[in-house]
Amino acid sequence: MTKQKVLAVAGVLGIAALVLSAGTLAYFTDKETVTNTFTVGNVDIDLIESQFHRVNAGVTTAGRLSHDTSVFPMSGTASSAPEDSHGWTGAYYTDAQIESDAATYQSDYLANAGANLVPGANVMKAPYVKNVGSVDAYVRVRVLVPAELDNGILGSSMYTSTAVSSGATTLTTTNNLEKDGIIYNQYAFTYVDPVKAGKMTFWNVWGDIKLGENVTQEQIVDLKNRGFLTNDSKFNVLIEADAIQSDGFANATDAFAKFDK
Amino acid sequence: MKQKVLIVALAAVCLAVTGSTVTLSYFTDTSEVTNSFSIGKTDVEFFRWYSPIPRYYNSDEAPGVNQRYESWLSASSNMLVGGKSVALYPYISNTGNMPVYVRMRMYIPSGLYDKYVTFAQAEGIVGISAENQDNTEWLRASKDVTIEGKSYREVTYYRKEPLAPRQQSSVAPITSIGLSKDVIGEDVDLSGFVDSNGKLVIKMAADAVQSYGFDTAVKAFQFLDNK
Repeated sequence: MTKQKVLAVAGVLGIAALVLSAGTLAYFTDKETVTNTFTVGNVDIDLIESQFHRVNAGVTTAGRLSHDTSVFPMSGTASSAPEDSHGWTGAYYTDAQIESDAATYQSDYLANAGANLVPGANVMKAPYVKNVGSVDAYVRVRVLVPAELDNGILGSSMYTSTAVSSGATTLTTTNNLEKDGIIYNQYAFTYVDPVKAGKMTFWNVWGDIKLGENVTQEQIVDLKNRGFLTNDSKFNVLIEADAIQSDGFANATDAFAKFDK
Repeated sequence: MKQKVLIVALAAVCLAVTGSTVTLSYFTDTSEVTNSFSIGKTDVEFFRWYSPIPRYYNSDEAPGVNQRYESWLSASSNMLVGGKSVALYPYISNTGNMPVYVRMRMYIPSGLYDKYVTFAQAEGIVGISAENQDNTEWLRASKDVTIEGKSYREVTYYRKEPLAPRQQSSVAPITSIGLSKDVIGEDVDLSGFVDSNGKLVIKMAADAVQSYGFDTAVKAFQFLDNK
């Protein structure tokens, strides 16, 4: 190699060295990113009330309101009831019928039927819960009756015994529960099966509110005087519904134990 | 000097004479060598799967693996609720042509970290300052960071050893992400972390740096981060 060539190569190396020393990214690196998008389920329920008892119970009970099925035919045919009915084989009102009625229950029915109750009168009050969330959920419906009225005054009101006896729900009663300054007796109905997303409870756990047939005017005045009825003789029966995800719990009892914690 | 100039002048004349009478009378040669330098290429793929990955995936395969994972993740059966975890096995493959140190970083919203978002970590992982680092592929560190005005806990896993070309990390540092059972109830509001469609986003990043010139992965990335 001639001296000239040596110098030339040396010159090239010198340039290369200058380039490397002047570069700011002297280290080779790489970066990759990923986005993990998790869908978080939500628990969301609608509590709806209808005058339709799911299976029209009380038809044969003297003195109670029920529906004439020739006027209000039951679209649910015998033996077609869903699994969470726990063995119901008769006719029934479908979800669509109940939801349609529920849309006007407060304005068209309760506003009239619930006003100016007289002894022996009853008002249909059938609560249902629809799971409008994205995950299956255990559901509980709690009916709170003012304790002072939960005797001869409203004591003839009826819950749906078949909802309990069929095994679809369990009933826990808690007396003298204070809420917003009022003492209630609470009837808590816990549905044994999870209510699937988009579905509605089959059984209405409550049927009606009935003013006792032997209630006297004196009793009403006394309740007013003691503050258990408003001046215009109104009282409230509270119906509340709870829901909790079913995933991760062995059963509804465990789930609501967590809920109540 | 005058004498030397004269000699050179005479020689030049002689050459000129010879050159003018004989064609192609000079024997010449040129010798060349080509110095082809290969520049190293740092390139990694970052992907996830719902179970341990059995083999190396290259640059062509990795995007498909990620797509299949995301499709799996979006299935309703993988919806997150309190107390539930969803499988997430992240891996890095070295698709470049030089050994590299790698790390994974995971960003968990600060309000959820260590309380409501849970993640299962591979056994044996220890902190970057632990005395005994023998039984793990990854070392862990974490710190609070702010990105675009939002606070996150950045959890970083450094792979102790460099990844050789065509090598893939063998153990996923985490295996699942989930929600704590503590989110069940009304006292936990996830609305600030979950969009209107119920989507909770947890970003991850994988970095690679040439291993040449660095003693450890942690030092390599510390050096880069400080730059």
